[in-house]
Amino acid sequence: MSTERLTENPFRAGMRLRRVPPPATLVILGVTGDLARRKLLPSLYRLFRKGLLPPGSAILGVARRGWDDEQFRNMVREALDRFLGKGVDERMWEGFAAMLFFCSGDLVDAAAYRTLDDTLLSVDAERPRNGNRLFYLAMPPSTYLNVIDGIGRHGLAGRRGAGWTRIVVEKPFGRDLESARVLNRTLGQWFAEDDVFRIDHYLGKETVQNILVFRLANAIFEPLWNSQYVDHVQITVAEDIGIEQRAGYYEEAGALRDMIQNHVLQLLALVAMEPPITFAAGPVRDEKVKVLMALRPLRGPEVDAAVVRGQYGSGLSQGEAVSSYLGEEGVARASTVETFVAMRVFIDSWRWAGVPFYLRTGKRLPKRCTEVAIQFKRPPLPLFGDEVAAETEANVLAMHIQPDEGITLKFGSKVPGPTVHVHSVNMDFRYGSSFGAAGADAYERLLLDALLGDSTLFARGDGVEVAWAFVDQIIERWRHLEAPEPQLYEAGSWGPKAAEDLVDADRREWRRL
Amino acid sequence: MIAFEPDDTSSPPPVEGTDLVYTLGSSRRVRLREAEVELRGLWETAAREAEQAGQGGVLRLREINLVVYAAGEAVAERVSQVVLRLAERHPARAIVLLDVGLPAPGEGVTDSWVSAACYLTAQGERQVCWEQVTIPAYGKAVELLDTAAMPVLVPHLPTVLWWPGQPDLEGDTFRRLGDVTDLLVVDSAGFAEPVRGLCRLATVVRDDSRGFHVNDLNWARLTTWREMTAGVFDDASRLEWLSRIRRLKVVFGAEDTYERPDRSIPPAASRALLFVGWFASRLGWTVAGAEWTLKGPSASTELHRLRGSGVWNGPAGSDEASADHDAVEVVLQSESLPLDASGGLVAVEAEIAGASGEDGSFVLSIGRVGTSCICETRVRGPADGPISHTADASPVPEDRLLADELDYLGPDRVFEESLLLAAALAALPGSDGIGRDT
Repeated sequence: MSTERLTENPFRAGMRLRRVPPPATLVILGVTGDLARRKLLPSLYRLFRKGLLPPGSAILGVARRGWDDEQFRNMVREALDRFLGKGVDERMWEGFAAMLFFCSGDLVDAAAYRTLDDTLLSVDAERPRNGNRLFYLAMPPSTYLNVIDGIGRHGLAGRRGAGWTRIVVEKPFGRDLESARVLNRTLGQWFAEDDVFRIDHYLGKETVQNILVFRLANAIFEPLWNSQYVDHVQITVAEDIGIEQRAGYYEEAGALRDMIQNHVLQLLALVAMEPPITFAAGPVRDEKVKVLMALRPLRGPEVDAAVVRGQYGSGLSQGEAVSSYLGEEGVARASTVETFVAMRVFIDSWRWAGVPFYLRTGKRLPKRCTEVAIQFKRPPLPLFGDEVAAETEANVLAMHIQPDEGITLKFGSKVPGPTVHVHSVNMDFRYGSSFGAAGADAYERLLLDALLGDSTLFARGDGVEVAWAFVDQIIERWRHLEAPEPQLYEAGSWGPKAAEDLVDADRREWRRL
Repeated sequence: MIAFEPDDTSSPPPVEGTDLVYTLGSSRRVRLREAEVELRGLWETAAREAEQAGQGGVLRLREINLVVYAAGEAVAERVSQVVLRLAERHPARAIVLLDVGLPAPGEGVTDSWVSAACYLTAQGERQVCWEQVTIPAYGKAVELLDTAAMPVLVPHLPTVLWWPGQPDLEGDTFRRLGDVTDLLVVDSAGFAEPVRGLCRLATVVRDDSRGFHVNDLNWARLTTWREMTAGVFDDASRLEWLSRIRRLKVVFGAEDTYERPDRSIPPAASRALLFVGWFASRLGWTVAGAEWTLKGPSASTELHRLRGSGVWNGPAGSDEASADHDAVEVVLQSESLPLDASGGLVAVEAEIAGASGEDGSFVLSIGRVGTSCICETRVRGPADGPISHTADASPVPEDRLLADELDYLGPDRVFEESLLLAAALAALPGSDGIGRDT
């Protein structure tokens, strides 16, 4: 090997375990906000500690406050001490702090972008990193368009030499199809689609990633993954908390926009998609988009029959009396915003024709829990008699996403003894205890992917628009006077009775979680 | 300490519990041929207890057979603790072959200790249970230990042979175990003769007829150092430095220094040699020096760097490297480092010539900050700006090292190439290797 003409790092060859991104400057816009302090900065520190932020990397925080680098470092340190979960190593901190810089500016002001440009140039001059830049919009969604436009107009979005410039956008990606299109157009004006990373942190969770691995790395499940064997699918995203202090946001969003349009439909797409031709961003996202395109439209009154919306009243949650949604601070007294949605959808594809997918999400439910459950059809013949058939439950494959990530398979087994009694047993596989190595935090994983340029776990523009097109039908119907109002449900319950009726009408029932 | 007295039938379980571990029944001494029956009994009891507690079944997860050769009770005890922690990531049937080191009370290997345990979830439910069969042997019966392991291997699972000490690579026990092994894991730092041991391990790697892959925990301990080194050259503009390296110095911790009466490299140099082997093999360097030159706490020799379009494809020290090359001096230097175990790296320094010749030379160093476990990358001299990189090089516990290696049951070609070059260096006169007596 001649070392005179090397173009690739020879020391990375055959290096196991690590996917180390190239050096880059990560620009966090809105760095003093909750997201940056709670999630982004601790995730970046963990990446640094693991050696996944290589030499030459820098983190440039941008916010309105008139801070200098030192004051920013103090803020970061406080955030790490509070949200990291375990202590910050002083010597590691010195190294991490050395890559932290601050740029003061109000991004509604054009001068702020010029200052940002100057600061980036000076940071780059000090530490060469091939001109790689990653912008992270950790700001309120209402500012996205102006900030993206500002970045573009001031020449910050373009490539520099061999370097790349990428942007990470937090959900929500718009609040309806039209606003999503505007956001995508604005992004597309300054960034190539490959350089746009729409982050949905659910997709960074180990079990979500494992849905595809489980399906496609095991030959025994995929043959069953279709309408011939699957009776129905249930996807539940339940939260036990209320809206906390987010009334301003939630009054505009509601459960449909906040959860169904992104998290729930993304889970649906992963469960229902066809195998991609390769496990790469393009093919994986192609297949996910196809699923969303195949969702059977819900037109007008069809929404009333297929979708239940609810709003929590007062009740007991985790043993404490809690207020109703209308009683939450900042919520309009006559608000009809939904805090619960249950729905039955169909995917009109060869694989899933006729299989109902039941989706539900809500706040102030009895527990925090997210899972995808595949319920299989019963055996075609009650071979062991009607009594045994009656006491045997259908096979269920449940993929738990939070809080305990894992997989459960329920199957019937003979109870030892002279008579044939069948009991359903759960074979339980928990990530936390099966593979004790704690998986990376979802943000940690997704930040690393964005730095590596791997967009497999991020939403693509067309996918976002297709999801909005589906959800918009429901929003449109709910604006109609004939549409039923949200039904009240008691805080701490599993939602309004209409949600039970929805599945009961199909002779099915929600899983008891 | 585990007591394996020949007539003892009531010893404590070989797996010590922790707050998160629930031991199924008590460890029992049974006839080896009854080990499977005993394990089945433990599982049935556990299942009944779980059902009575309304917890559903217990899950017995086994990813591998982990066969461990433990020379002495102290090693067996350490191994049991490692296996316990290892189960979190790699649940296994562990089969500990224990060379008790006592005179034989009888003939053959007839007994075993059987135990099983589960991790507990936060709710107290039993999750991921594993099992261990410890087979003690005395006196001459030690030679039969491998045959005792065969019946208790779980069929159709990969088998990993972990040998915490220095295996007798030419012995029948190793050979027979090798026949059923998919991956051999050793720790060359724990070899009785670590530097010479690299040469022997290289012999195994060179043997194409072997049916297993080889890994070394001593190599795994270099991960942070390798990643820090690689990190410097992720910036492509620095790649051209690599053709101008004229000296590579690796400083390592050692209990003694080169002021040894036998004038040899100390055993602690084995990890440093593996690092040099990795660095040099990545760059296609070959061994050029005829011997190690010892001076104070340092030993140096030379490596060839090929120039032009030459591609290194021959064994270290082959004639192919002689035509179009220049020399790189390699220096190993020992340093007393109380914080670190002997053998740990202290610093790596590459002296790099200026782009236009001698002027402007600089030193790229990766080293510990003071006596801490934190490493920093630095450049001394006129380079293109400072490099900011810090990493934690704290010693990694043995169970984590082992678990990392078990993530991959396939070959580690980079390790193998690094080992071959390290072994070539270890074989030079002046090392602790075969040249020591010449």
